[in-house]
Amino acid sequence: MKRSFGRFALATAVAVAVAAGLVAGCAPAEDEIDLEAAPKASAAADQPTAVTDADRQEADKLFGSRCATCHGETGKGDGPGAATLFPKPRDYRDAEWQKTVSDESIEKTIVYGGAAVGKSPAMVPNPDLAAKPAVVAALREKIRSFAKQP
Amino acid sequence: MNMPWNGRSRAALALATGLALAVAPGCGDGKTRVAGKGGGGSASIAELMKARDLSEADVVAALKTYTPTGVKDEFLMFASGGHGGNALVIGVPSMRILKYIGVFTPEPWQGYGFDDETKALLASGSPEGKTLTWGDMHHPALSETDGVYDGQVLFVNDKANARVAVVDLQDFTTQQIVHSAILRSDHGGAFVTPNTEYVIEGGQFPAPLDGSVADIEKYDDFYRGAVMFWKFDRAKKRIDPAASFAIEMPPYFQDLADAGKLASDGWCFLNSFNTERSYGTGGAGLPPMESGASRNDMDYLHVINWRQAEQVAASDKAQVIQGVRVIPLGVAVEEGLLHFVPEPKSPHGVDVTPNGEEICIAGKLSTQATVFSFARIKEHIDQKKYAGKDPYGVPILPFKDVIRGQVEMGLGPLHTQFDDKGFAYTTLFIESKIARWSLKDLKVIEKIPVHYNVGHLSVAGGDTAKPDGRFLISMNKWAIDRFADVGPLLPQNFQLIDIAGDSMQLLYDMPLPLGEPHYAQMIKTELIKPWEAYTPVGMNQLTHQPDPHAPKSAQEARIERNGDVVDVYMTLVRSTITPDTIKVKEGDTLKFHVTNVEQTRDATHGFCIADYNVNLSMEPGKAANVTFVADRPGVFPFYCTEFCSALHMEMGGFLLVEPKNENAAGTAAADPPRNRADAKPSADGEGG
Ligand code: HEC
Repeated sequence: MKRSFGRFALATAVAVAVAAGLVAGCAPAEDEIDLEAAPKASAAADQPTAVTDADRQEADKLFGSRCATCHGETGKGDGPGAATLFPKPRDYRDAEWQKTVSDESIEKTIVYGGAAVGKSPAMVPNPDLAAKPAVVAALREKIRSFAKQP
Repeated sequence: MNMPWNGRSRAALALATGLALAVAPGCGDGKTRVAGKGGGGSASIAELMKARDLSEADVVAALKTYTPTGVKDEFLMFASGGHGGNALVIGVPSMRILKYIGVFTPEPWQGYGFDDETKALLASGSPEGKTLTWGDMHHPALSETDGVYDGQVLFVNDKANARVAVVDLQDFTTQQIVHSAILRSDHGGAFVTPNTEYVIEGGQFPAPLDGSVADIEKYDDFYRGAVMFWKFDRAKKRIDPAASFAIEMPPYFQDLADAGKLASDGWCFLNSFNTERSYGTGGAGLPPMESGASRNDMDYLHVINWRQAEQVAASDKAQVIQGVRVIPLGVAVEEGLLHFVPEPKSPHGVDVTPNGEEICIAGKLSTQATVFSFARIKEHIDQKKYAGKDPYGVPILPFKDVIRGQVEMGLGPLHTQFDDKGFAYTTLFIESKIARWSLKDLKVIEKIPVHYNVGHLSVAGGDTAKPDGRFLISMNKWAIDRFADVGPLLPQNFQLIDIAGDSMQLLYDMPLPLGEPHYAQMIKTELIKPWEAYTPVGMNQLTHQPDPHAPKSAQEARIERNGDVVDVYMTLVRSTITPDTIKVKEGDTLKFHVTNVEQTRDATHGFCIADYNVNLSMEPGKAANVTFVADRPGVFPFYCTEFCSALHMEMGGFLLVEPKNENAAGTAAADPPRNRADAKPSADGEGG
């Protein structure tokens, strides 16, 4: 829906701009094309991202399909692909690690990969999630939740 | 794809364009012109139009096809790749190629024809002992439910080798290839009945059905045509050869078919040409085939009652010839399964109207399309009102009494499709045009020129009981002057035509750098529901079942030796191949069982081994097996062929094949060519 509106707005803007050109005696139309009319995808950085249940569900599904291969269903770092990884993904239950790592770092790791936070590039990026900050936050919550498990 | 903004923004932009046009003439001075024909940079629509020499119609066409990043196409077109042997998936209206599907020709991107399973698949439809590596694909047919595409399966034929293949649209891969031993070619495939009970495959060149060689002069007596009815098992998504049957036909060139639907359900209509039974010069001065085969003014439309034939085929009246259950021609006539209707002249397309009541046949060498009434055909069959019999005893219905009328078309009418508004569209090969005509009063309304040599056409849903209309693709051969020259072999040209409005508008040209594409079918994108990955991990692409050999996790990766057979159970995950070091002896048989253990949608890996022609595509979750003999010694790197992660280049390993004869001159093991111990760098970089 968002993008629908954005495109319509842009198209209209072009129409108006060209029309304006007619009226204003051939002013360069491009100046008046409001390319910023489309809403921005990313939320303001300083506001905490609101996570809905739908986001949590999507994050659960994503963790199962994308992350468990290496991190394991329970976040122990024992997924079917992990045995031979070097370094191995850590055990998310590690309370010490949970204490020292920031939310921001976890989220950055998820979207941009290990290399982005000085970790191993064996932790792969998920660039498509950059457009879904709430799902990333839900994934971060999920990773945090592993700490509470025995 | 329901894009609410589409209509509105189009209107807005059309308005913009209109205004821009109005403005342009008075705005010549002082305006920055866009450099070069390419336009670009920041410029107004008016400037861009001027710079690129675009008319308003061009801009409107662009607006109707341009598909912004991230927006999906409304239709998917499944096109034949001609003698390229593979199928194409193309988004409409953007005309973006989305996929090649390996079918009759090995396709390296998909690893198709490289692993054990798909190698066996290609061999399964091939003559024994010789794997065919190409096909002459002609007519794709999407599976149907109640006469409408259901998006489950695609069938395609190979005219050259009389094969039919089944492509599963869950993963867009070929699952089965069948060959009927009684057919030598099959221009007339593949067409489905309204609930995909059968896939119809008409032959073209007659030959003795039993595979023997009869003298060409004995053509009339020993050569026969045939039409196959391949039984489709929907639950298994496979053709069931044992439940399939054929009908023996006179030695005419049986051609394209269309199954009846609704009013004509249970019937099949099949064109023929060369009812003159010309077989060429015979090496003895007879007229060449093309003139011998076009002497008569009429050929015969074959009207087949397939529902009744199904029962006769199951009875003891059928014969088994080369493993195929065949209803002999005499039985077909006796049982009333086969009637002929004259059709003018060397016809090409036979197309049943959406309501199933009429059959449109374009006479390639006549100037008309003839519209036959199924009700009248049926009445004449029921009342045995015949005009005569052909030399093989097949009853012929009186032409004039079973047609509703004829439409004067133009030169070289070939194929017809239908839209949702009661129009039919027929290609005119010789005229290079498409005619839009009204089914109601059999009148041509409009013709649009195409470039050039149009064969088939494809309207969205255009051969179903519920056509979508909207877009038409003109499938032209040899684009002489449409594109930049690329040498003597010319690309084909798919032209996208908007048929939603009162008059047709040509929107876009799409070159096709493949074999002659023949036919395509267009289906609403939303009707296809493909898998995102192979789930659970370790699924075999061909059986769609867990592969018994597949390692499912890196822990299960291992190397097992049994005599001179070495099983390598291998896993792929970003960015590791396990095991990464494999040592074997020359002459060992290597069996790789490879699994991509990932389920991430875009985590496709590849697996190739240098010099051994090993090349697999490993989509997430997929398992594949490849067997070969390590018949040359040496060091062979293997690696992942997809740029799967930042560590992609590092995703590899080594296969070491040690020579059999250790004393052979120059081999590494017996006599190291260099003093390796000395050359070895020390762990910390500087010599100790
Ligand atoms: C291909 C294997 C693989 C996949 C798939 C994978 N990871 Fe990782 N991940 C790793 C490895 C290996 C590390 C450890 C990197 C290091 O310690 O240098 C890691 C580290 C991390 C870390 C950082 C932990 C730390 O030490 O700070 C986070 C957070 C993380 N992964 C989240 C995820 C999420 C969420 C997903 C799914 C969207 C995912 N990973 C998918 C392999 C993977």
